[in-house]
Amino acid sequence: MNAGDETLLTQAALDGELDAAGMLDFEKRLAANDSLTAEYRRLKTLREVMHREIVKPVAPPALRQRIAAMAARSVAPRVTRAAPAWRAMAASVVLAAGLGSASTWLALRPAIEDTNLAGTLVADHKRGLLSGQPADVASSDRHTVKPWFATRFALAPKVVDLGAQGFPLAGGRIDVIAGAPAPVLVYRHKEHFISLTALPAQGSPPAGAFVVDGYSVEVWRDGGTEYWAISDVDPAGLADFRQLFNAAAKPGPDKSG
Amino acid sequence: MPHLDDAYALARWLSGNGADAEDIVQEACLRALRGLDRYAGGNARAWLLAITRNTTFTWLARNRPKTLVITEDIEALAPADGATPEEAVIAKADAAAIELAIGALPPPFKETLVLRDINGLSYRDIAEITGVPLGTVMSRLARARGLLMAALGRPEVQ
Repeated sequence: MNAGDETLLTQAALDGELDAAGMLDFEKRLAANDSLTAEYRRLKTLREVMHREIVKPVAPPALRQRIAAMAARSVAPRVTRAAPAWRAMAASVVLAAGLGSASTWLALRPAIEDTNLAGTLVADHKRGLLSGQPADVASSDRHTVKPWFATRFALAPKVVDLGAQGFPLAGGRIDVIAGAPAPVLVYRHKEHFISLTALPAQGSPPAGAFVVDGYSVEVWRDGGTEYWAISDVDPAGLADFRQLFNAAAKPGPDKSG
Repeated sequence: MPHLDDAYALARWLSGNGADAEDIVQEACLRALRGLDRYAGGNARAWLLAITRNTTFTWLARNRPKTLVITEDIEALAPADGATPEEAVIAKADAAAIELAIGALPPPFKETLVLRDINGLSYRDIAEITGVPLGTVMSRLARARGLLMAALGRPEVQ
């Protein structure tokens, strides 16, 4: 592999575009190559500086109103063309929802009618362990995991790193819960994995902590989000994790990424 | 309104000012709504950003032709001049220096960088929006970041 390819690979690693196998390979390469390590650190610094200094511009309210009015007129029934009408309708609903809703991830998600949600989530957790790939994006860096989710959900979940407290971030994946995609954060605790699924909170809150098929389950809510933590760590350990995650996810200076 | 903010952010960075970006986004949304029956499904955000990107370049060619300097073979440009600065120098850069450095990037590099680092899109979406292969997205991103670091290392922008 020549130096040019290594540069591209370094960018891809930082951008969360490598899969678990690619990341493992890259980390080995990084450990054995000082100039690549220096390049990696410079790029990481550049990204941190941009993250710190650049505020993503927000559309001015007047523009927002003009566009919303335009979209509303367009979504009104049109009878001009018959054949692709269903598709245009569907698309205009998608676009109008995207333009008009502040929390598309929550709003577009159909109501969860899974009677055995805990069973489904435990099965997803087990599938992750059995496949040997509990995360689709494997990274302990929340600045990699958060953007990875941001490209897939209009509203990315809170990503916090609890490495210092014994629960390092292992990555993230997307599971399908009740027919809709849901973000899952994967944490590590000693030799165990924890799957943390974020779902829109609906109905009455379920019980806080229980055991399903030998797996510890913790459920809690934070605002409009319901968190499900599944793991084979003992219930006390998972309760600790819940407390640490909640403390770190509290709004504050650069806590949630 | 996540998609609208994304469209505005892209137009704002590519055109370089907010008033132009408002005009561009309004025109892009109008095109998007008119073109709904050509929408083939898939990622609505990437679709709107592709329209915004094309509208921006058409708008700039019409109203600000001088900002669009057409380089014959952008990929063959010489690498950034000057040594790559130290990590510590990069870490000290402020918002004004970064904006200046991004603003000075050639358009193909600038749009790739903005789509990735401001809009947070995946390589695949960027390839689709800009209509180039994935490998070109990756090399443009590497070049953009290289140019950016070199610019931040020069004393006049400190």
